[in-house]
Amino acid sequence: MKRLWIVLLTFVLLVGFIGCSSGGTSNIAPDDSDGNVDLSSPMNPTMPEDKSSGIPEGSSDEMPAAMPENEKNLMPLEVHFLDVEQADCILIKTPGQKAVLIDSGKNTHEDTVVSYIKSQGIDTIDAVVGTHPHEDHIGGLDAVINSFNIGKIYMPKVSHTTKTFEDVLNAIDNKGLKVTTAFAGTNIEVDPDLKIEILAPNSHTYDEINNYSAVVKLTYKNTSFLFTGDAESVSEQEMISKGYDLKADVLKVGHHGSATSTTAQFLKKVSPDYVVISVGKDNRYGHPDNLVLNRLKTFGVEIFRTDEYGTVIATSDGETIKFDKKGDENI
Amino acid sequence: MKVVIDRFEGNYAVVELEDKRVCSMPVELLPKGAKEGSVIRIELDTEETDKRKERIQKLMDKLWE
Repeated sequence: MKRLWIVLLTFVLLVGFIGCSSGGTSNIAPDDSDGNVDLSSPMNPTMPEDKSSGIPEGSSDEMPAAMPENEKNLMPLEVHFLDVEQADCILIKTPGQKAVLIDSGKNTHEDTVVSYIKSQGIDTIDAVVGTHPHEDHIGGLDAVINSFNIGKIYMPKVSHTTKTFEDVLNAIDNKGLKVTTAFAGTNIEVDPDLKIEILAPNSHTYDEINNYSAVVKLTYKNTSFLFTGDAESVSEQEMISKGYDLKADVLKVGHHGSATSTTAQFLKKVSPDYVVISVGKDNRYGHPDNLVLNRLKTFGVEIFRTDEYGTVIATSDGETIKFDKKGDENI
Repeated sequence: MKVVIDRFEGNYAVVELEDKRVCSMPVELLPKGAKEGSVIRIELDTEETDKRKERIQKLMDKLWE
């Protein structure tokens, strides 16, 4: 009787090991609560079982179990500032393979924006931020919503009377989605490796729609980005008064470089090394304003303009940020 | 035709046309009190057109040899 128990126990244990190893090596086991920790360790006593069942002869111990982790760590954060002329569109690809979109260009850019995002191998946008309801920021949003799986949508709670805005709302409604109010203090949670926080708007009513702009700060390890939409000096002042940590390595200059934004006080708080200006060539509004350009030069920052470089791509490994100015070849 | 003021950029109002195209309109052309979101109706003033035609024609009749 005792002998039978031992045989049974051995059988159960064997089946158990095989089950674990297949789960561990395939990397699709849903219950990775504590099982993965054991299996990924080369010192684990179950590894010999792994070896005999899963690893081809001659492979080193750490190869299969460690690969997925390494691969993940090698994925940098990518921030694409699309060349959408006198408009804004920023695509963020996270190390954890999530996608965030901040604005979507003008109505006339919707095909360009949709095909660019598709060309990046993206079919789901985990978070979409429509900074404010002006056409040069949300024009392509209805097409984006209709073309991709959408996680959450963040927009400030401000109305507008244009067909452009109505079409965006109808696209959201038709897809059965809801809008999360973009307001200071809201966190956008898509990837545990990143912190994405909304720093503005800080008031419920403004005279100008621009000041409702959702301002988004993205932090990845020791690198950070600040995207300010079209926030003007009123909103910049509020963010300073609230005492937020505005320091960022990269600043997406507010309102296409208009003199309404990027006050010296704000720039000092952000203290960026690089700025990106999303602006159309020879636009009739005089953007970026010389006053702002001179201010930026005084601060000694490196300036990337989409009207000069086309799409600008910044990549971060969490320590350093690199810029690729040849991004326009992708668009 | 109706256009909607989407936004202001310096001396221009950027207006949305009925087909969602946008164009820039000098702020001098805007009716008093126009703001972001205001709908502006653009229509012919036939009465004023006829008056002007008549007035100018009279002047021309007088001046042409």
